[in-house]
Amino acid sequence: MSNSKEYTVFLVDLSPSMGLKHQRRSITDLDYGLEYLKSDRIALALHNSSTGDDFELLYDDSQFTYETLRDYSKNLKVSRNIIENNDLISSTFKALDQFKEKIHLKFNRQLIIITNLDSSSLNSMESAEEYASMVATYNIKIVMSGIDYDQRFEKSSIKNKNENDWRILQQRIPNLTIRDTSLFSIKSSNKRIAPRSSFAGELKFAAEIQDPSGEDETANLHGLNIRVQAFPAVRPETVLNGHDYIVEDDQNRISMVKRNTKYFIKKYTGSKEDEEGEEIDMDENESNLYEKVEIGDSHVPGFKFSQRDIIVLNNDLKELTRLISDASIDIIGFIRVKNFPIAYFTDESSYVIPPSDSSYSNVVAFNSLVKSLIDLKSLAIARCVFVSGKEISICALMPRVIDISSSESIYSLIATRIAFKEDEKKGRFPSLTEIEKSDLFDSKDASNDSNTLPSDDINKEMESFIKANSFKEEGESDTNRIHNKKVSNLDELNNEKLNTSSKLLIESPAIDKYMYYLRRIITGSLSEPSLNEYLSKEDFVQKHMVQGHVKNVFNYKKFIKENALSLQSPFDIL
Amino acid sequence: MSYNNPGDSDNEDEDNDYKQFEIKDGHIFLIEITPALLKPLPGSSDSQLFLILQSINDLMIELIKTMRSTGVGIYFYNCDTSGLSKSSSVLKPVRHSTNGFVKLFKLNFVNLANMKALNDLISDDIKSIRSINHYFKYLENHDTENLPTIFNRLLDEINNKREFNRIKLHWITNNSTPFKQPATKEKLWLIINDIYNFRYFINPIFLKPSAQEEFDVSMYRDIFINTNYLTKTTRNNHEDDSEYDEAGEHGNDDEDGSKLGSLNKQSTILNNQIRQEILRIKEIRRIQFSCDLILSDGPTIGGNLGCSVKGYTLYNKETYKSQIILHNENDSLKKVFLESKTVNESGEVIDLDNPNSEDSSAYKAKSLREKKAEHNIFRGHELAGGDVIYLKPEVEDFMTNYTFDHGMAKKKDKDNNEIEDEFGFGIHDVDEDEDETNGTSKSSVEYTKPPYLKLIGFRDIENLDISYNSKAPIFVTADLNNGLKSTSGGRGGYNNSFKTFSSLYQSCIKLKKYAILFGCIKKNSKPLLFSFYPTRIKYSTRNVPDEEDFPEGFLLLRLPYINDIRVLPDYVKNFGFKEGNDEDEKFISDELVSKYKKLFGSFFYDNYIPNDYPNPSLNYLYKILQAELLQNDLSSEDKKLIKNDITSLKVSEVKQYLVGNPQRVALMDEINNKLREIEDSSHQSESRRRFDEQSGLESMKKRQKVATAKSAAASASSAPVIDEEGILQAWKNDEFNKFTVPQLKQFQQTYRDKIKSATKKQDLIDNIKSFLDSREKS
Repeated sequence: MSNSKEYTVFLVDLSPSMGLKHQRRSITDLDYGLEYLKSDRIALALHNSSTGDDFELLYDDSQFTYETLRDYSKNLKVSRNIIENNDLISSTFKALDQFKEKIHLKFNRQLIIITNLDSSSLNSMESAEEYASMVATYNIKIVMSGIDYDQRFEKSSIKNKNENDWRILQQRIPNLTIRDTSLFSIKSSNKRIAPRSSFAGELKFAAEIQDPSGEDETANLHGLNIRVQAFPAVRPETVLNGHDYIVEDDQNRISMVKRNTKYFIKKYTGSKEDEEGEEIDMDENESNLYEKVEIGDSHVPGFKFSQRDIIVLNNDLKELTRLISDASIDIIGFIRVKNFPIAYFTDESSYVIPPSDSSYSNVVAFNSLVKSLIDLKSLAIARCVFVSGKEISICALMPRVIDISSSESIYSLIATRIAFKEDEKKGRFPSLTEIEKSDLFDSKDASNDSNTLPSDDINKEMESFIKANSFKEEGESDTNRIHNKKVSNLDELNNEKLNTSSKLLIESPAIDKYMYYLRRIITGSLSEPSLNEYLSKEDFVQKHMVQGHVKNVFNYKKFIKENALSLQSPFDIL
Repeated sequence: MSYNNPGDSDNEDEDNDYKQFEIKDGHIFLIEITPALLKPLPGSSDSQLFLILQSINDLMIELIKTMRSTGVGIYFYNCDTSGLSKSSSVLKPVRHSTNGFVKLFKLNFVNLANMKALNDLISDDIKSIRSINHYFKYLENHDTENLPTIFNRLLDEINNKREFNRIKLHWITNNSTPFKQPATKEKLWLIINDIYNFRYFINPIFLKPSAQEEFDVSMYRDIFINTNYLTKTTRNNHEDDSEYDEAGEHGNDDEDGSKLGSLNKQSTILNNQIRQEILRIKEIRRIQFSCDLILSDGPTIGGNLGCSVKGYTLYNKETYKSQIILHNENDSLKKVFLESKTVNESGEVIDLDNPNSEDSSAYKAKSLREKKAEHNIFRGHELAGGDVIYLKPEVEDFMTNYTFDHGMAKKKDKDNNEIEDEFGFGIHDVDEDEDETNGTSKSSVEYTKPPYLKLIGFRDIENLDISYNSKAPIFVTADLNNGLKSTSGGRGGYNNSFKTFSSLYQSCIKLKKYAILFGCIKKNSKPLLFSFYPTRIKYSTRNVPDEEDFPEGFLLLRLPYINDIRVLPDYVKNFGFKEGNDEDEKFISDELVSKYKKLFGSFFYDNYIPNDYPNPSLNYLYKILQAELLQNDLSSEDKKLIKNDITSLKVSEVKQYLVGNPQRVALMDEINNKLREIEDSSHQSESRRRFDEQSGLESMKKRQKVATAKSAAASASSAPVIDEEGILQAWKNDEFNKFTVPQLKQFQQTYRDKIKSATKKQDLIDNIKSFLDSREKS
C-alpha cells in the first residue's frame, strides 16, 4: 500500500573513519551519508557512538519533530576511538530488533544502514537465518547505503573485506539490498500520492443516454459498455504556502496571525435624482454617497446575474440550477489526432483505465479499443459526467500505452476537457506572414519599418539558428507511449537510456530550491541554541544562505548539464 | 478566471500590481432608420433592422454569461413614433432631442430588463404577434441636417457613464448621404473630432442599401478625416480592440495593437455579415502576460537574439463567477462587502495601515509585506512539533529568486558586489540594466529578472507530447511595441520584435519544429517549462473549411514537472503486459481491434468546433436563474436533459446513426458476441483464469471495504447521537475529544449552513467551537 506510513530505522556507523573525507568531497562521509532523512517515524541506531557504546538506540514513539531532530543530531558525532569487537552486522540485527515492538501495526518498515565499511568489523552472521525469516514475514526492507560502494577505485583491504562480508549476508537475507550512497540522491520520482479515483462507471459507445427526468429508457441492445475508472494524471505542485506568523519582540513567542472578517453593507445617503424614473444606476463607485453599516452574520449567498439583477441563491435554488445527469463517459465521435488542435484543451488530464475488479473480457474490450485508436491515429471525443449530477463536459480521450515498469505496460486513455462555446475567447491578431494595407487611406503606419516582414536572408539565418539549436532526437516519435514508473528512493534504479521527453521531465526548480533552503535553515539551526535565535541573526541571507553553496539563479548551462541535453553551439544570427 | 473586486478590502497577496480588472466596455448602437432598412430582404420576411436587432439580442445573451460588465445601449434616429402613444411604445424619446431620435434602452450594463425588452420585440415578431415595423417607422420629411444635434444629445447621454472603461459607438446606416449642406459637414466634423478627443470610438457599419447598390463612403470620409475611425473601419481591424489583462495590469493603451492590421477591402457589409459583425464585439484580446523571449544569450556573438512577446487567452474554462454575499433587509437585497483585519492570537487588531514607530509617509509607500514585517509578521512554516521557521522578506526573496543567469563574464568594478552578483543577489544591478530600452543594451545583461522566457532548444513537431495537460494553452504573438508600452511598466524589450517573431514563426513552420522554453511569464510566477508550438499546422489547426484558422503565432503549453505527474494505482500491474507476450497475455484481441476500427471508421469528424457546443451545465444555470428572476415558470419539458444538453443529443445521434444502418448494427453485434465469447472461454485458459481469480479477489476486497465502511457507518449511527445539551456541556468543559468523529459530524450536519465540515477531528472541533462562540456572542 502506497499510503501507509513509513517507519524507518537508520543505523549510522559512527566509527572514526566516518569522520574522514573521501573522493575529494568537501564533507565527511558521515555528512555525505546523511543527505536525506525522511520518514513518518524515525529511530536512530548508532553504531560505535561517541559515548563509547557499540550500539545505542534513540527512539521516540511519536511523530518525528524538530526537537527530536535536534536531539538526534547531537548524538550524530563521530567517535574518537574504534570500539573493541566492532561488529556492524550484529548492530544491524540489534536494529532489526527494534521492529519487534508493535510489529502488528501497519507500517512500511525499513532499515537503512549508513556506513563507509571502512572500519574493521567482526561481521558475525550467526543469527542471519533467524532475522532473514523475520524480515521476510514482516516484509521489512533493509537497505545498506554504502559510501563509495560502487566506485571503481582503490579500496582499503578492510573495506574490501567488509564489502565481501555484506555480499555474503545479502545472500542469506534476500530482503537486503546494497546500494551506493550516490544513488540515493536520485531525484526522479513521481509524486507518491495514493491515487484516488475521480470516476467509476462505464465508457459507452452508441448506448442510449438516459434522461433522469424523462421516462424513455430504451433497452440497450447495440451499445458498447466498458467499465472504467478515472484517476487524476496531473496536478501542478505548488511551492509551500505557509502562514503568517507574528514574532514577539523577545523572539521566543511565535504565533499565527488570524484574520477577522466583518460584513457590512453600503447604505445610500446621497440624494441622486432618479433620471426619468426609468432606470436606476447601481453605481457603487461614488463611495462618499454611501455609509458602511455592519450587519453581523445576517447574510446569505447570492448570485449576480447581471450588474443589476441579483438573486438569493439558497441551497434549494442551487439544487434546481443543476442539470442532472448520470455519471458516464459517452463517445460521440472520433477525430484524427492531427486534426485536433491542442488549443482546445482547458483542464487537467486524467487517466481512464479499467477498474481493479475488471473481468478479463472487460480489460480486453478496453485494451482493444485503445489499440484501435492508436492504429487509427485518432482520439475519441466524449461527453463526460464524472460525478452524477455534477458538471457535464466534453473530453478528448487520447489512446496511450503507459510503461509501468521497465518491462511492463498497460493500455490507457487520457481524458482532457476541451472547450465549449463559452470558453472561446477569440481576439484578432496581426498576421505574421502578410501585411495588408488599407485601400481607403494611405496609412501612415505603413512607413514604419520596424513592423515589416523579415527578409529572406533573415529567415535563412533563423532556420540555421533553429537547426543548430535542435535537440538530437533518436528513437523518439512514439508519442502514444508514456512512462509512469513508480520510483521511490528505495527502488532499484533503472539505467535505461532516457530520451529527450524524459530528460525534459524534471523536478520543479522553484520547489527544489525552496525545499533546499528550508532544509539548509533546519540543519544550520541545529548547531545554534534555538531555531528562533538562528533566524533572528543579522544579515541572515549573506551569512547563512549565500556562502559556499550553489548558485542561486537559474542558469542555462546548468540546466543543460543537469538534464544532459545535448545541444550544438548556438548560431549567430541577425 | 475570477476577478477580484477591487472594493473587497485588502488583498492577501502582497503584489498590488496584480489586481485584476473587469472588462467594462460600453457599446452603443446608433441605427439610422431608412426605408431600405425596414424593407424585407429578398427571399425573406426579415428586414435588415430585424437582423440587426436579433444579432444584438444574441450578443447580449452571450455577454451576460461571459462578460457581465459590458454595457449595451440602442438608439435610433429618423424614427417616426408619432403614431404610437407614449405608453404603448417601447421606444422612448431621447431627452431634449428633436423628434425622431429615440432609444430602446440607454447604455447600461447588460441586464435582464433590457434583455427582456429587446427579446420581447424579436419574439413578438417571430410569433407574428407584432411586427417590429409596428414600432419602427421611417420619419418622412425629417431634418436632413439633424446629425449634429443627434450626436450632441448622444454625447449628453454617455458623458456621465464613468462606469465604463471605454465606450464604442457602432453607427449603423445604409444612407450614404448623411447631410446635404456644407455647414452641416463642418459641424459634424467638429463633433466627430470632439468624440475622438474624448477617446470614444466610432465604428461605422455601412450596409449595402440593396444587392445592386454600393454604399458610397465618400461623404463619411470628409467628416472622419482627422480621425482613424475609417482607416480602421471594419473587419479584421486590430487597432481599436482593447486588451484586457486577465492577470492584472490593465492594458489601457488604445493604440496598442497592430499597425499591420489587414484593413478591409470592402467598405460595406452584406446582410449576411451583419450578424458576424455584431457578434464580433465580444471578441476581445485578453492579455495574460508580456515579456521578452530570449532566443540566444551568453557572451558569444549574436548573443542577444530575442523578441518581446505577449500572451493572450484563446480558450479557457468558463465557470460561473458571480457568487456574492447578500443581505436581505425588508425584502430589498443589498450586496455585502467584506473587510478583514489581521488579528493576533488574543484577537487584538494589528493596524497594518499605521506604522509601529517610524514616520508614516515612508511607511505608506511600503508594500503590504513590508508593512507586515514592520509589525513583526512574517510568512512561516510550521515544523512537526510546533516550531516555526519564519522567513524575513529578504530571506523569502532569496529563496524565491527566479532570476535567470545568462552566463556572461563576471564582475565589474565594486568589490563588495562580487559575492552578491555571484549569487544573483545583486538585484539592483539587474534593474539598472533593464532600464535601458534599446536592443543593443541587452548584450550587457547578465541576469534577467522575471518575467522572461528563455529558449532551451527546438524539437520536431512529431515529438509533441500532449498527454499531460494542466491548463489551457496561451496564445503568443509579437509585442508590436517592443516591450515599450507593455503593461508591465514598459521597461522595454527587444527591437524588431515583430520581424524576429515572424521569422521564428515562418522558420518553425517550414522546418516543422517547435521550441522548448523555460521561464516565468509573470513577475512573481514560478519558473515553468513550456512547449512553444506554432499554430496552423498539425495539432494546431481548426481544420474547418471556409473558416478562418487560429491566428498566426505560437501556443504556449505548460510541460509537467515530474512532481506534477500522478502515479497510476497499484492494481494496474494485474493487467500489465510485456512486449512479445502472446495475444492472450496482452489482454487484447486482434479480431476486436480490427472490428472496432471498422466500426469507428464511420463515426469520424473532420473537426471539433467549440462554437457548436454550448456548455449545458452553465446555460442551464442561467436559464433557471433567469426564469426565477423574471418569475417565469418553466415546464418540466423545458427542464428535460435532452432539451438543455447538446452533448446528450449527440450521444443519441450516435446511437441513431448506428441503428440506422444494418451493417453497423451487425458489426456492433459481432463485437459484443466476441466479447461474450472471450468471457465464456475465460476458464479455458490458465492465465485468464488466474486473472479472473485475481480480479475476483479485488472485487471481493472492494465489497469488503464497502461492507466495512457500511458497518462503520452503522456503528457510528449506533453510537449515541449527541444532543445540544451534551455539546454545550462539552463546550463549557472543553471536552470535545470524548466524542467520536461521526458524532461530531452528526452535530455539524444539523447546523451545516453554519458549521463548516472538516476532515480532521481537531478542525471539526474548532469549527463547532467557533460556531458556539459566535452564537453565545449574539
